[in-house]
Amino acid sequence: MSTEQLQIVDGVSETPTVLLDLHNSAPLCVAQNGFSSPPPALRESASAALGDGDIVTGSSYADRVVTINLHVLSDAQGASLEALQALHRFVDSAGFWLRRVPAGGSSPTFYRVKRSPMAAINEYNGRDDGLRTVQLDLRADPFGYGLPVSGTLSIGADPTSGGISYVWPDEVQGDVPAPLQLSHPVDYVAPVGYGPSYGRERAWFSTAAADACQVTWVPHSAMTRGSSGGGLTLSTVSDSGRFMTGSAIRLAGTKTGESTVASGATSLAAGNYRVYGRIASSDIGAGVVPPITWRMYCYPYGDGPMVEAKHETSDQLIPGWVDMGLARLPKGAPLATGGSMAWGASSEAVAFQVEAVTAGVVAAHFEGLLFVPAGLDAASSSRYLGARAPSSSRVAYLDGVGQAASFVDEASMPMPPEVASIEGLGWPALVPGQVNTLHSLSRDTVPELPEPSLPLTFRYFPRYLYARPALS
Amino acid sequence: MSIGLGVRLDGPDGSADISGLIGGLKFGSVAPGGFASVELTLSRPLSTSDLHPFSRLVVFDTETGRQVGGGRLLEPGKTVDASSGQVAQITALGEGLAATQDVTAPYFLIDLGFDQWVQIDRNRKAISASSGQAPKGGNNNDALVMQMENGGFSANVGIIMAHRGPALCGMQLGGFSFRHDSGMVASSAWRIRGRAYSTGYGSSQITTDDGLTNTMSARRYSSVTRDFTASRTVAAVHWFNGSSGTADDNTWSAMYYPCVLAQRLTPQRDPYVTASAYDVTEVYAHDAFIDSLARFCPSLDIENARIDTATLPLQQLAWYDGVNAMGVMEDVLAQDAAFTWAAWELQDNGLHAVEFREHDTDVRYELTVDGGFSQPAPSTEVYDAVVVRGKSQNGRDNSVTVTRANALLDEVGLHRTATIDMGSETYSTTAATQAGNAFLDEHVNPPNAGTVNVAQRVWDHVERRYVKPFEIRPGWNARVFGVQPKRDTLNSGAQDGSTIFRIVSMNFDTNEGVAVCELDTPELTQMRAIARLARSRTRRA
Repeated sequence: MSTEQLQIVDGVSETPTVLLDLHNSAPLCVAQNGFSSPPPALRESASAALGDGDIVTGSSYADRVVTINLHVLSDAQGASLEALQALHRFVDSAGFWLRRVPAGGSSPTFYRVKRSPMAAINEYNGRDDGLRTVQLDLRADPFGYGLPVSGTLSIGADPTSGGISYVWPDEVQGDVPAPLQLSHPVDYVAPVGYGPSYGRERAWFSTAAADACQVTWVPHSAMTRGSSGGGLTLSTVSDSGRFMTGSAIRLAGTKTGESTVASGATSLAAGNYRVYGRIASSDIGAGVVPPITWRMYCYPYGDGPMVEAKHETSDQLIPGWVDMGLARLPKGAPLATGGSMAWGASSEAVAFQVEAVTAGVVAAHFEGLLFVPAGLDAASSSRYLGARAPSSSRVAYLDGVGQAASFVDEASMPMPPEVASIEGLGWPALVPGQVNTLHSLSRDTVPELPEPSLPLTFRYFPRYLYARPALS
Repeated sequence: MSIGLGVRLDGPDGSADISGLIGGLKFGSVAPGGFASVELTLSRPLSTSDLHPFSRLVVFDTETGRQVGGGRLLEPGKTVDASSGQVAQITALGEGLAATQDVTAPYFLIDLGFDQWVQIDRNRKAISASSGQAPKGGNNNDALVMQMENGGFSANVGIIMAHRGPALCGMQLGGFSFRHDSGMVASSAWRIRGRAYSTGYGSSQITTDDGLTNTMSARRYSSVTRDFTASRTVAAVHWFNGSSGTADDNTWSAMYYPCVLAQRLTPQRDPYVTASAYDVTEVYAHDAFIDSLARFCPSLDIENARIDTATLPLQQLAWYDGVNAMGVMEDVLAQDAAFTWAAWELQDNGLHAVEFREHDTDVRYELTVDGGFSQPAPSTEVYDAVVVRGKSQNGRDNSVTVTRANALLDEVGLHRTATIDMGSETYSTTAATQAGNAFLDEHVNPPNAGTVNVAQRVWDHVERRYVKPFEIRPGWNARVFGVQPKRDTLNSGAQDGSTIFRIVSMNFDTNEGVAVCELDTPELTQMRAIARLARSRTRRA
C-alpha cells in the first residue's frame, strides 16, 4: 500500500521531476487531516423568477482552494528556515504544479497552483529545532488534472462511406468536460483553378449525449426529383469523378423564380441541426450566372423556408458543402424538458423540400442534404468551431485548452491565424460519462474528389473535481 | 450548464480567442442599427495588453457557432486600481452604428429647392434672373425668373442659372428636371435650355432645348447617359436668344418646380447610370439606404443585403452642411417609419450583413413575464396634432400641421399638440405631412415603454427554433404572455391574455444571465439621441 504523495513538480507527466516534496521528505510533512482540496464553488447566473424555482442561465466554477497543513520537522532551526524558504519561493511564484497521490491510491492528480498566500505559520516557543506548523491556502485551477490521454484517429470525409464523424470508442476519463487538443495535416495543394487547398477550411462539431449524435446524410437518390418546367430542365447525371455519390440532380436552363429540386424525408432526433447542401452553382458554358438561393422547406409546407443560403457561382461544377443555416427539426418539436419528462408527439419524421430560387441562366448540381447535430434536446453539450488555415500552412494545431489555433508551414515555421479565421469558438471537448462524437467537414469550396480522410492527433487532460480514481 | 459564449478579438496581427481572459461581458442590439455594443473587462497585465484602435470584438454562441454580438473597439479603457487590478474595460460599438458614423460629408440625393440655384454666367446688363415670382399675377408659385429690361438687344443674349449640389457634395449629377412658363405667347428665338456642366463650368452639354410659350410646359427631364455623360456635376438652365430683338413687359421666362437628383450608387457600389431611374421627382427610403451605405460604409455588405422596397416618395434629401449615413437614415425613417435597418454578423466575405426591412406585423418571439417585466405607459406621449417646422424650398420658414382624431383625447376633451423640426435638409410640404403622420402613428396610444427580462430559451417564429435570450433580435414583434392587453397600435384586437410589443433593444448581461428587451419605446427617439451626439457639430440647426 502506497503512502501519501504530495509534491511540487515540473509538470503533468508520468515521471515528473520533483522540485519540492511536501510530505515524508524531511523536514516537511503533511499533518493529519492536513490536506483539503474540496471541489470549487459553482457560480450561477440566475434571475429572480416569478415562477417556482430559479432560472439558471449559466454557471461557471470559481478557483479551487487547496488547504495544506504542514509540519516542519527538523532538528535544527537552520534547516527548518531553509525548508520554509524553499516553500515560499514556490508559493510566491507565478505558478507551479502540485502532484498528489492519496495514501493507498495509484493515480496522481495534478493541480495548477497560482500565486497564493501562506495563511499561517505557528511557532513553538522555546524550541531550538525549528518545529513549526504551516498552513497554505493555495489557489488553483478549478479542476485537478490527470495524466494526458493522447492518440490518433481518422475522420472520413465522405458521408457515403463511413461518415464524417468519429465516435469516441473509449470511455472519456475525468469528472467534467475536458477540452481537446487536435492537430491535423493541411498538406493537400489543389491544382491551379480548383479553389483553395483541401483541408484549409474545416468546420468542427463536437457533441456529447447519451447516444452518439450522428450526422444524417440524405443523398438525392433517396429523394424524389422535382419536375422540369418554366424553362428549367431537371435531370439526373452520373459522373463518379465529379460527384461524391457518383450522381447528382442537374439544373439547366433559364428561369427566374423558385423551382422544386427534390423532396424527401428522413428521421431525426429533436433538436437543432446545421443543414448543409452538397451543391454546385456554376457558370460553365453559360456566361455569368446569377447567384442561386437554395432553400429547404419542411412539412407542413406553405409558411416559408426553414433555412436558405445564397450561393455564389464558381467556375467549377463540382459540388461543395454549402452551409444553409440552423434549423430546429422536426419542425416545431416542443422543447424537451429533460429525459423521460418530455410530453408531446414523439415522431421524429422530417419531410422536406429543396427549392432553388434562380434569376436567369441556371447551371447547377444538387447532390444531397447533410444534417449535422448542433444542440440536440437530449445532448448535454454541443460545440462548433470553424477554422481556416493560412494558405501556406502544412499542419494545423487546435488547442482547446489554450483556446488558440496555430499553424506550421512547409519550412516548419509557426504561423499565426489570419484575422477572422477562427469562428464559432466552441473548441472541441470531451464529456465524461457521455457518448462523444467529433464531426469534421471540409468547407473548401472545391475539394478534391474523392476527399481523403483526415488523420488527426489528439490529446486531452482529464479534469477532476476532486481526485482521480485508479482507472478513469 | 456553461453559458456558452465565446469572444474573439480581431486585431491587425490576427485573431485571438479571449473568452478565458474576460469578465463582465455585456452586449446588445438595437433597432434600427443591429449589433449595438459590447462591454467586457479584459484581465491582462497592461504591459501585455496591445489593444489596437478599431480592433473588432466578435461574440459567438459556441453551441451553434452563430455570431450574437460584436463591435468595433471604441475605448480600450486601460485601468489599474486596487480592487480590480490591471484590466482593460473594453467598450465596442456595433459595426452598423460605427460604420454609419465614419464619414460625415456634404450629401444630397434629391433637391427640389431654389437655395442652391446661382447665376454662373450672364452676358448683358439687360438680362437678369432671380428667385421669386413670375410677373404674371394670380400665381404664388416660387420660380427662377429670367427677365429683360425693356428695349432693344443685340444677338446672343443669355444667362445661366446653375444648381451645384453634386459638385458641392463631391457627387455626380444623376438627372434634373423643371417646368417653364413665359410671358411671350410663343417665341422660337428665345430658348430655355437644360445644360449639364462639369465642376468649374468648363464644358457643357445641352440636355433639353425648348422655345418659350405662355403656357406651363410639361416637365422636361434630363438624365445621365441619355442626355449627358456620367461625369457631369452641375445642372443648369440657360436662357438664350441667338437673334437681336426688342424686349417688352412680356419678355420673361420662369422655371418652376426644379428637381435635381444626385447620381446614386448601385448595391455593387458602381455608378447607377440608367437614365430612366432619374426621370422622376422623388426617391425612396431604400434608395437612400443603398446609396448612403454604398458610399460611406465599405464594411457593410449592401450587395447581398435584404432590401425591401419602400413606396413613400421622398422629395427633399439634401445635407449640404454634411451628414453621415446614420443621419441620412434617421431623417429618412422619420418620414417613412414603416422600415428599419440593421447591420448584423460578419460574413465569410469579410463584410457585415445588413438589412433594410419593412416592419413585420407578425409576432416573432413568444415571451413571458416570468423573468421580470415593467410597463410604464406615459400618457404624455399621446398627441392628436403635430406641427412640423422647416424651411421651404425658397428658404422661407414654413410649417405644416397634421391633425388626427384621437379617441383617448376625445374621451376627456383634450387636445395635445407637439412640434417637431425637420430643418431644411429634408423639408418639403409632402415630406412634412409624411413626417407628421409618422409621428402621429407612434403617438396614438401611450407607448408600452417598458422592458421584459428574458432568462429562458424562447420560441422564435422566424428561425423556427428555441433561441437563447441573447439571440433575440430587436426590430421584431414579441408576444408577452401574462399581460393584460392595452390599446396600442401594435396590439392584437382580441383580449387573449397576451400583448404584442415591438422589441427595440436587447441587452444581455452575462453576470445576470438575463436579456433585457426594451419594448415599443419609439425607436427613432433612441437613435436620434445617438445620432444627434455624433452630428451635433456638423449639422445646421
